[in-house]
Amino acid sequence: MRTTDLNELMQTVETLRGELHPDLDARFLEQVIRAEAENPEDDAEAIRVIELALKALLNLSVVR
Amino acid sequence: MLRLKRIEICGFGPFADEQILELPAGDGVTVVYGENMRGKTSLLNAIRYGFFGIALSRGSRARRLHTITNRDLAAIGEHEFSVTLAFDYDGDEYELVRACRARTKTPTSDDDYEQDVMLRRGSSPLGPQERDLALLQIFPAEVSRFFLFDGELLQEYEELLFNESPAGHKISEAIERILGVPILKRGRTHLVSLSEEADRQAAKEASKVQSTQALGAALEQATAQKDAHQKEVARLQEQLDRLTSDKSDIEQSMQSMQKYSSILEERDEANSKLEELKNDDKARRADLQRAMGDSWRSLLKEPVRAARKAAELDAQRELDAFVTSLRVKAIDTGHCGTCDQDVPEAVSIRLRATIPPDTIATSLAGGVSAAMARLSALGKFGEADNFGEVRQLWKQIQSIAVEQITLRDRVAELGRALADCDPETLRRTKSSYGEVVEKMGIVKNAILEGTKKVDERDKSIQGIKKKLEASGTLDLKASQLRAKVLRDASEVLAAAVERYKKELRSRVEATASKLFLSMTTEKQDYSRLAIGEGYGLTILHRDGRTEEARSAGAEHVVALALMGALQNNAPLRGPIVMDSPFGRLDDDHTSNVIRTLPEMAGQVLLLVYEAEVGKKRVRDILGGRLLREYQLERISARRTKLAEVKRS
Repeated sequence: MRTTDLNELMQTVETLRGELHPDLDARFLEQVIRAEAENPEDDAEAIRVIELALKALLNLSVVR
Repeated sequence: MLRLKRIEICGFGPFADEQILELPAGDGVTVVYGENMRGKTSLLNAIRYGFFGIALSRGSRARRLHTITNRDLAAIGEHEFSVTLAFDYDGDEYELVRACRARTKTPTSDDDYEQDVMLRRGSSPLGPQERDLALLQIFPAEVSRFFLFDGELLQEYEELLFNESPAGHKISEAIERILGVPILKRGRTHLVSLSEEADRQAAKEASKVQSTQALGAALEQATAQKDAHQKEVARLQEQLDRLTSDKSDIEQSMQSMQKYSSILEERDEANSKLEELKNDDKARRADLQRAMGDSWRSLLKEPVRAARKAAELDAQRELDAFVTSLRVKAIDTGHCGTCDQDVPEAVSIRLRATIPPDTIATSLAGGVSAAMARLSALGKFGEADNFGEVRQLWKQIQSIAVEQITLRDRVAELGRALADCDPETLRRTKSSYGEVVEKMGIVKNAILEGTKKVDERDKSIQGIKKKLEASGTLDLKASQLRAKVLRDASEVLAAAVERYKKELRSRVEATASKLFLSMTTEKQDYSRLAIGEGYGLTILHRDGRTEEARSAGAEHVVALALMGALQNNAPLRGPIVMDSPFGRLDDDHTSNVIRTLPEMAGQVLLLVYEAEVGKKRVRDILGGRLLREYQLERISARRTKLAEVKRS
């Protein structure tokens, strides 16, 4: 389902990130949510987008 | 947000010629009035067909395509029909055309039809793949029940109150889908699968280096074992899902066949009673045959009695004459031949006095008289009075015959009622339900066992990982970091699923309560609705107690409140199209529901029998929120025209 309003869902995820893993990159989680929302029936595409986001995040960590 | 702009229907149901329904822009209610058989349900089905390619009949069963086509047109060999939907979605304009053409002259099944689907975004038609994906995103069929519904569908929401009900489970899943929960669930699943892959990679890296080789091998082995157990659990889970779905289908089928089930049971009982009667009839007829064997005696009883009486009289007379003859002889000879003694004079005088004056002596010499012989023969005749028994048996046979005729008529009548149903299928359905429930129990136990094994493997994996963290190479550390990020993210999403569901339930509960209180006529007594784990809603009285016994009308209002609450809280929003939703509601509730309609969704299309609501009442209650009114006008039994109602 392509959703028009993911704000409440994102907000819940962000709150829990702060509570459980504050070091985890918030943008990565947002990208995961968007990958799933935009590919509701396509597991392979959703995973591909998540892997790209992860790769970017880890490269950034290495650079840092 | 999805907003319908125009619906064009041609050859669909009673809409033989092209009919166009324009929906005004802006929030509010559009009403379509129509008497029974004019096409309200067909209009709802046309929208459903446009989006999903299916139309539903009673019991939410898919309608065969050849039953959709207009009957007038079908009679002249035209079986085509089409639906065009124009709508806006997230700022883009769309036009969806679904047309159905018959491949044969007289189509009798769905295979005899060919469907064409065209989706245009702006001015660009989309390719088949892009079109299907877009339709899936715009309006998933799984959530259609929250947008397109009738009174029958509303009744299903009662199932949500029963946590164990598979039908309720199915609706709960659909609710979570419209609320966006699967996004989190799928995200977590994908992150877990990626983190496990990262773990496997880390184990490989560790195996390459001598110092961590043993730990790496142990990690690889433990991970492989965990994978195997997980695969088995996943396989079992799939099996359980299939069984749950089968159970739900069987339940639905049993529900829709409930009517047939009771008819079938009655027919079976009637047939077995007929068999019993047949045996009874046979036994009674055998008894009657036996009784009839003796019954001729009953017929001769009176004549034999009379003959016997006459013979007795004759015999008595003969005996009396014989005694007299002995006396006469004794008087004449002065000797009694019977006692062989002489008869003294005095005795002779006394004997003479007993002799009647005109006596003719009779001789019985030589044997029994004819009267005695007749009497003896008649004495041998056994009397039997079984008239009563015969009459009783005959009455019983007649009564059995009447009962048989009545039952045969009933069996034939029940047979006609079962014409649409295959009794064998019904019997099989019942027996397969039991099998499915039994299998589900076995699979559930196997899943518990498998999950236990996965947890055990997972514990040992975590232990090995800790040991590896201390002594790793750069590649190993990179794999471990990757796995950690994915694991942490999956933990966040796993927790988010529960938190989001809890928050959603609370939001849906609040909105549903508000809508319910606006629609119920018991505002003084009821305080709110309370939502359960499966999204079932219970009514709370002001005294804090739950209303256990809910009327059909109350159920209806609760279901409508849930619909509105889901619309208000779902990420995906769209129009509500309701077909005759007032069936179980009284006048006051109907007014309250009409008043609440604009709160339920931005765009509401109400299809209704005018007498249920009344145009004036709708106009008075909705005022400026009533956007437009249409009337379904009869042309003939098979043709309807859609006309806008002009307000003076």
